[in-house]
Amino acid sequence: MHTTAIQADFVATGAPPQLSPEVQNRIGTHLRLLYDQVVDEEIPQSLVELLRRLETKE
Amino acid sequence: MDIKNPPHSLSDELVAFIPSLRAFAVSLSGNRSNADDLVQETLVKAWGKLDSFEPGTNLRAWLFRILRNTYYSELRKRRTEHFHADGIPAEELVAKATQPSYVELQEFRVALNELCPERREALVLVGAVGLSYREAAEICGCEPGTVKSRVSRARTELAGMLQLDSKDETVI
Repeated sequence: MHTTAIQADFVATGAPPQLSPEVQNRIGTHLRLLYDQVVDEEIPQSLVELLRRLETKE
Repeated sequence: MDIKNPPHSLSDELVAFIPSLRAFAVSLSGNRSNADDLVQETLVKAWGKLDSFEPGTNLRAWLFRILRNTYYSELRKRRTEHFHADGIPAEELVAKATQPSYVELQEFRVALNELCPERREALVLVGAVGLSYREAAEICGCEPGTVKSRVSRARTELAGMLQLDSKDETVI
């Protein structure tokens, strides 16, 4: 495997060159949970009204 | 699409993107009230330059790009100001039984906000939104390879901050 900029950065920061699939999965799970929590929230009515106002101005 | 006379469904179409725009905005700004301001500004800008949107291309990518560009120009304007995670009411973060604990998610959120914005947005676009490196690169205005490298660095940084490597797998 050739040396990439990513690996060079790992060397520079002293971080491990590769994360285990378990750690990568865990990060992915957390990311999606946080993101989906916001996606699942009710849409603020102010934003919907803003779009309606923009539309009626046309 | 006749842009001068948008179909009646246009605002509905944009409304459908509000949830993901908000989620992306929260991940960028780390704060709900800033995020809603950001989405509001994005919608106004998007509406104002609908004629620059090429029908048939990716509307979500176009909107995400406007949002992140708005975020970065705001960030440049008040360079000294640092966004912090706000206190989200506990009930919003109550996790299902099989999911990570509230504390664990809180720690993760704090760590995520410690990342530099470029790495955080790359990680969120790829890891949470589920975009390809190419799509994420289109939004961030950089090369797919750059996105890939930012994602790797972001993951490594997070793992380091959260000491994920050293934790017993069964604890999590």
